[in-house]
Amino acid sequence: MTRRSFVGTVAAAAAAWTSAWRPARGAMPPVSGAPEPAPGPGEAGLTAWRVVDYRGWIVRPEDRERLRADAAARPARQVGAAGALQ
Amino acid sequence: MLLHQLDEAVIARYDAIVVGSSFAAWPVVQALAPARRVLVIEGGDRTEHEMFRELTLNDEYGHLADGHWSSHWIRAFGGTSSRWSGVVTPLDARDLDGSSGAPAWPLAFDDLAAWYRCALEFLERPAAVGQPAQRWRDGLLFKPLSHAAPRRLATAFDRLVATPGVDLVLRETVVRLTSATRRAIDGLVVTAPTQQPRWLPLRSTQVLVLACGGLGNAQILMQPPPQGGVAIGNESGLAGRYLMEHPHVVSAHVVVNRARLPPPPDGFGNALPALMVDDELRYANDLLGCSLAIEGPVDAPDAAAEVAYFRERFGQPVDLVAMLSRSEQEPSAANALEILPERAWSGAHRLRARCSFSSRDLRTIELTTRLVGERLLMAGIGAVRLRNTAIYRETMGGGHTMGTTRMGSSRGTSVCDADQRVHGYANLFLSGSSVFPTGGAANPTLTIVALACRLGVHLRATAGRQP
Repeated sequence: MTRRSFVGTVAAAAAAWTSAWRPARGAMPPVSGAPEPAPGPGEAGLTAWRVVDYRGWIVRPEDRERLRADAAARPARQVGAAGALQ
Repeated sequence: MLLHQLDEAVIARYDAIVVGSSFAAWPVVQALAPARRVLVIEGGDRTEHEMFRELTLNDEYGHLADGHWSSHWIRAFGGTSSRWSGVVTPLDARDLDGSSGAPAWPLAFDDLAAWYRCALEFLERPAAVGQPAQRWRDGLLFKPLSHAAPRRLATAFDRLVATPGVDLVLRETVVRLTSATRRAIDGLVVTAPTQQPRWLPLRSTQVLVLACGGLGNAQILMQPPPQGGVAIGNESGLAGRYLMEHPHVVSAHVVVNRARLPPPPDGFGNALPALMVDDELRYANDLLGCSLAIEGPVDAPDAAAEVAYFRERFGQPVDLVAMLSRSEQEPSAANALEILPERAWSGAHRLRARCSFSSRDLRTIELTTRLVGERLLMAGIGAVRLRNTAIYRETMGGGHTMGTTRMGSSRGTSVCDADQRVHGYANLFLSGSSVFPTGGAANPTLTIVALACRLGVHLRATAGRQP
């Protein structure tokens, strides 16, 4: 096996493994009508299953989707020459 | 009247000697006089002076260091009232109950709350400020903080010194106490800048009240006798232990529609809105007390997109403001003062302060901010940006020095009893936040004054009389 094909094999395996455990989009429980999951230690009363973190903000999943979409629609900030990652 | 000399003949005239001249002292003095003759001994001058500031210098280690404790220890007439920010709020019943793993206070909350009215009058605030936290909505309590021009005792110097039955002496530092029997204080060792330390006798019928601040009270009780052995007043071995602050940090930035926050009670005056979680959430999550005040606007250009989004979602008017946590620090015997061999010019041994926040202290801030933030979000009132790094790396104190001579039911667990009398001593009493067994999440000034009012009325019945 050449070095190039070995790298490709590892990358493909990693992608397959990742897609196997990643939950499908939209798998979040609905906000209303769903039974409250039993809280874990130190989580009593937290609504963690209904809110998510976005850049430190505590928001609803739909807020995060909207904020991400808004951010993607803005022109990217120029931080240096293209491809200049070190 | 202002005295210019303090000697054996002078001190013999009084029923009560009060050491210190701040908020822990004057309510005691005013309750005692004119029925009892009172001498107030202030270690500093009318205004702050480098010579007396030098007496407050400590070694400081832990999260609160680099002059933190020294800078909040004011050796001048009026003490810390000259630096106080003017925030007033009472403790709540849960702060005294000991149910968070901390010791319960040895007095019922109603016994303390009854004195808040007296304290509010002393601090020139409306009675409505003394109301406990009110249930607001789903798991949240609303407890506004009274914020108005602070009362500065130094500006009332002439009026206070003219109080009938009261005399004041300045620039006299009480270094340590003496007692041949260890049942009553029989003398004070005092010193002044131009004099050698001298011993002044006390009768057992004369009441001595130490109101020297969170460090000063403990420092006096920790001074070793010249002949060695246990310091007078520290037979419990607990003086200096359980040093506490109120952890302060801007724990979140919050986009909030202030119009949807509840108004303060009628007649409250200027209020800072503040939120807490209710008892159910607090105990289920093993949290300490934590009050989150909605403060002034913050400038955060990196949050412009989120602010614009929530402005649209919540409707006008919304602001991006700081959420300031005033939180509780759990009492720990490891957070303590130690006596050093080195002495100040007064002859008093200097202090080393060591005080660190625990993971529970900091987790309380993070989790309370999160719980409040989630509920504001779900109610469509606000959204928070949790400042994790600030909470866990930048939390500081608020200048509140508490716990070093805690009150309790026995000498095995505390320095003084519910009447603020040092265990075992008939005539030695402590006033100030040093007696707090726990600090709650309330600025301490109102409770300091309330306890001082209570102590003064209690002593009025006994000072100058045979037990």
